[in-house]
Amino acid sequence: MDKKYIIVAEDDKYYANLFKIKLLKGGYETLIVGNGETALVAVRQKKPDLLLLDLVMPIKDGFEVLEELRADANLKDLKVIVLSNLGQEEDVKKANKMGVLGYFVKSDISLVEMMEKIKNIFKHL
Amino acid sequence: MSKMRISTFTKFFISAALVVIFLALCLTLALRWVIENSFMTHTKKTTGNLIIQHIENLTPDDFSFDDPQQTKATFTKFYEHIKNPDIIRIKVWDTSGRVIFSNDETIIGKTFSEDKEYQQSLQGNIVTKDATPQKSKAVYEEVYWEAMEVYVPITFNGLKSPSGVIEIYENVALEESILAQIGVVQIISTTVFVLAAFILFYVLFKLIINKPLDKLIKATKQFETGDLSSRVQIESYDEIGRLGFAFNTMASRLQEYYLHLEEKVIQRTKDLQKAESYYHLLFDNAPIGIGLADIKGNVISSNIAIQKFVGYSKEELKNINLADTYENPEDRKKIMEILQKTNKIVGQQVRLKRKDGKVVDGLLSVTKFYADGKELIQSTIEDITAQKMAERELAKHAVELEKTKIAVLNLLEDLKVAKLEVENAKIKDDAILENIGEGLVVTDLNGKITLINKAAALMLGWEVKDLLGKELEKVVTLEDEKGELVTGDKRPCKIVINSYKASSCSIVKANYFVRKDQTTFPVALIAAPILLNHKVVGVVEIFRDITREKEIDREKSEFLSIAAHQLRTPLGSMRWSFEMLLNGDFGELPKDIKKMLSTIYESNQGMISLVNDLLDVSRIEQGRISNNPKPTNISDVVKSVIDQMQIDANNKEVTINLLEKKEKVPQLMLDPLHLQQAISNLVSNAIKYNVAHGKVDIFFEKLANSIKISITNTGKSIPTDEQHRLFTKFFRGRDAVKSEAYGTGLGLFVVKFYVESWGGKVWVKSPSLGDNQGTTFFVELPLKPNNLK
Repeated sequence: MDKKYIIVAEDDKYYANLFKIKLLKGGYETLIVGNGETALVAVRQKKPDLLLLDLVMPIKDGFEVLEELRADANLKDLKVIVLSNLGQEEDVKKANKMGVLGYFVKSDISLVEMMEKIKNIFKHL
Repeated sequence: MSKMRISTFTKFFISAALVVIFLALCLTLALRWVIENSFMTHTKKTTGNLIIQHIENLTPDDFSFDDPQQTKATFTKFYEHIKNPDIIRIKVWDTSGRVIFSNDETIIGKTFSEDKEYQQSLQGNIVTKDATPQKSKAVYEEVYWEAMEVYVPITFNGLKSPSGVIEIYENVALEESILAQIGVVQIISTTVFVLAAFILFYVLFKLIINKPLDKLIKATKQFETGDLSSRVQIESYDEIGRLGFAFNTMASRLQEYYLHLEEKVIQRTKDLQKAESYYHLLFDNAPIGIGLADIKGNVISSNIAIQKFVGYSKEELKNINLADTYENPEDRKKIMEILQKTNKIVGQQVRLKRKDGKVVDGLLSVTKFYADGKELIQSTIEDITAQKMAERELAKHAVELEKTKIAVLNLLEDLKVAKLEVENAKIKDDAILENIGEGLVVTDLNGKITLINKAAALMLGWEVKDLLGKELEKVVTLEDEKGELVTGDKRPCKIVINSYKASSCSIVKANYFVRKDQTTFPVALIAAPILLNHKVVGVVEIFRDITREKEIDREKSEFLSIAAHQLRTPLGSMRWSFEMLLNGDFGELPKDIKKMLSTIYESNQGMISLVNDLLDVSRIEQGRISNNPKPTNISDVVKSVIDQMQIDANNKEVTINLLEKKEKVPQLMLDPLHLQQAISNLVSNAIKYNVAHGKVDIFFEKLANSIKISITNTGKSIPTDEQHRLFTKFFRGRDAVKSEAYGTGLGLFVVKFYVESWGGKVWVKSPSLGDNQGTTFFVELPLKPNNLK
């Protein structure tokens, strides 16, 4: 089985680093991007299997990225998991409406759990 | 002005005379004209013939006007021949209208071709013209009465057309004697004619008109004197005859009527006699007393009623004085005094004394009048004894009534005061309604606006007068959060009417009113029914513009959101770092370091929970919990919670058991996220405050109208005195504080809030017998949870 390709859109360097270590260890090919704009460019170029999307980001925030993805015929079916420290109900609902596979508050989920979720997503394929 | 009495005869004769005189005048004038005319003709003939004869004698066959010498000689001779005193002037004209000879030398050589008679004469006729000059214009002194011009054409050389015209101007006056004769004849004939005519008229008039008229006058005079049988002898059938006939007819009719009238008079006399006898009956039997007395009080006549009333017979009455029948004789004196002045008294109450001494009441009317030179008094009297008695009774009652009336009046006065107070209160209420800052709209059952205050109109951008009487829904549109129109039964006033309960009121939040200019603003609105005798008669809606509140809400929400984000970011990254360290991702760590890191990890987790709980609580307190109810399976929610908690449970070495009954529980209509959070908090507590190797039993079942969930742990009991405070904010039990577990004291507060918002309840059961008896938290949810917005 090929390695799954995951793009992580995360502007916080500390988190980015943790993602990178953990995902590489988990056996995924990983690309970290620091803002919404580059996330969109990367997604269009690399066609990843999964996008882990932060919401609060410079240039374009996570919701804008989601909006553009859903408007793009080639990318509207891209799997997206939102990982953000925003956890208001309104945000969760808004993201769910835009068809994300999961919405997790970073501080409320353990890395183990997160890895488990990612694994589950690919397992179901 | 008195009318002149002119007889028909005179009138007739005056007109006849006028006609006769007029005719006589005409006759005279005609006669004169005939005479004059015959003179003219005579002159024309004699003068014309004279001239023609002389001309023929004097002129040779080849005569012409070409030689003036010859012409002058010839006509001078001609003039000498015919010359006489009556000829005033002679003129000889050639065919060009020029005078070639005249005895008046001044006009020789002049041309008068325009002369009408000359022109006519040139045609070959002898023409005459009356030429009597007017006195003022007289040219020739010789003219003394009447003159005439005769134009005679002259012909030479056997030519057919005349070669010239001779005009003779001569006096034609008649002899005075002839004139006088004519005058006498005229006067005599006229007089004879007039006289004859008069006589004729007179005779005819007398015969035809006067005689029969006299007959008619005679008959009329006879008729006048009462001879109704007088008639006219009619001899002719002309107008006068017809007049006589009409007179006769009229006379016959009158005679007939007169006879008829006499019969009638006889009949009427009989009727009157009969009527009189009726009047006697009427008088005697009238139910009212009627009497006649003289001025001194002596009774002349009395009817039966009056006799019965006073108890005297007719004869007895005639022998007493009326003053004796009065209870107090002075009363009669007073009545008589008034009567002297007024001649008439109507409806005077009197008290009379009967023959038997009994006193009776009467209503007296008297009239004084003169008859046969005596002063008489006619009186009628009505027995009102019974009425007076009743009146006296009534008077007694009236006193009592008066007292009651005063009492009622006092009551009315009190009512008036009360009414005034109510009115004042209403004025105050009106002022309050008018001036409150909240918008207030009152609608009737049809949704028509019956009252709207200034604030409401101002908020809506209308004038009060533009809205009164209009249907609220039609003028003021309402939108929901999504911008969709709220209409019909969804309008607050309709909700209130349709779901009327005595105390119901509907609070509608987060709706938007549309202003007149189509802008919108958010409102907090309360609608309540207006009840009158337990019936809804209208709806009052009170609303407030909450634009500012919304703004503040949004700002608060944003602040919380960002604050939470900023707090979570470092806490989250630390968490993951600790997890990786503990997990050995960076190599295995020495045991004591690992233990220390675990402690720090726990504290970090506590901080994260605190942030989450604070966020929840502040949202709850602000009432900003969004609610999205959907059919929710409790079993699924519980299982997902257990999944989430598994890691914590493992860490604590606690086992979680889900005890499910075979019977499936129905789905509940509520927000699954909220239920998940409530159960999650309970399970989390059950793990946290458990003993090592303890267990958590989760159980749920359907009851009659609800679903009951219980979560039991095997931890320490909760002291009874703390149990009732468990669900308050930031409360932590003494043992909980002492335990290692990190807690905020907010979890159960959140649970209670959600459960109660669905209309359910939450409680705790913890035996206080000793430690480790375990604690059970119960949650009971109704099958149809409330879902208030």
